[in-house]
Amino acid sequence: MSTMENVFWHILGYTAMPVIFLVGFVAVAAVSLWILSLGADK
Amino acid sequence: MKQLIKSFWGKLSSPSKAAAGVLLGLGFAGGILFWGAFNAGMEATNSEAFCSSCHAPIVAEIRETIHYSNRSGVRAICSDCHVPHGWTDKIIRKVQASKELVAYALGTISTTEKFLARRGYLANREWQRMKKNDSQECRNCHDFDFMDFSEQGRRSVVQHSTALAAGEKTCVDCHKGVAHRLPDMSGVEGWQ
Repeated sequence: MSTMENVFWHILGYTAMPVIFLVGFVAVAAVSLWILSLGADK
Repeated sequence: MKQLIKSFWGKLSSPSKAAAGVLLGLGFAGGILFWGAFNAGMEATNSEAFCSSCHAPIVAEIRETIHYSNRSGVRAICSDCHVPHGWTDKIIRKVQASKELVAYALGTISTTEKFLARRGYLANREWQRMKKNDSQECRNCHDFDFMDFSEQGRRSVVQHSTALAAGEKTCVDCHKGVAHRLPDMSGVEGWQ
C-alpha cells in the first residue's frame, strides 16, 4: 500500500469513528422518542 | 425528508414530560443495545465463515498448517492474523475492507484462476502491512520475551537472538507462508 493510500484510509478510518457514535446516538434517540410517543409524551 | 429531520429535531429540542429516570434508562439501555449490536457486527465480520465467503481457497489451506491443528489444540482463525486487535486499528482496517466489497461485487477473485493470478499481489500487500506494524498480529500470541531458545532449532536461535532481538528484522520477514501456500516468490526479498 502506498503512503498516499495509507493516509487516505487512516483519514477515512478516523472519520468513521465519530460517525459511528453519531449514528448510534441518532438511532437510540429515534427509538427512544418512538417509545416516549407511545405514552403520549410527545 | 427535510420535514422529517425538522420534526425529529423539534422533538429532541423540546422538554419531555417523562421522568428523568425514564429518559436516562432509555439512553442507557439504548446505548448498551447499540454497542452490543455494533460489536456483534464486528465479530461476525471477523469470523472464519465470513472470510470464507470470498477467500475460500485460502481459508482451506490453513487446515494443512500448525496454525490450524497442533498438539496443544490452540488455533488461529483468519482475523487473528489479518485484523488488528486494537480497537482503533481494527476500525481503520474494517473501513479499508470496504474497498474489498467493491472487489467482491466486481468478482475480482471469484474464480480459482482469478484468485491464483492475484495471489502474489494479495500476499505481498499483507506482508507489507505486517512488516510496517512489526508483525503485531504474530506478537499477539508469540512473545519474544518468553521464547525458550533451548527449545528452538539452531538456525532459529541464531536468527531470533540477533536480527529479531535487535529489531533489524520482524517475524514476517522470514515466516512467510506459515498459514497458506506461498505464491510465486520471484522478486521477494530474501527468497531469490
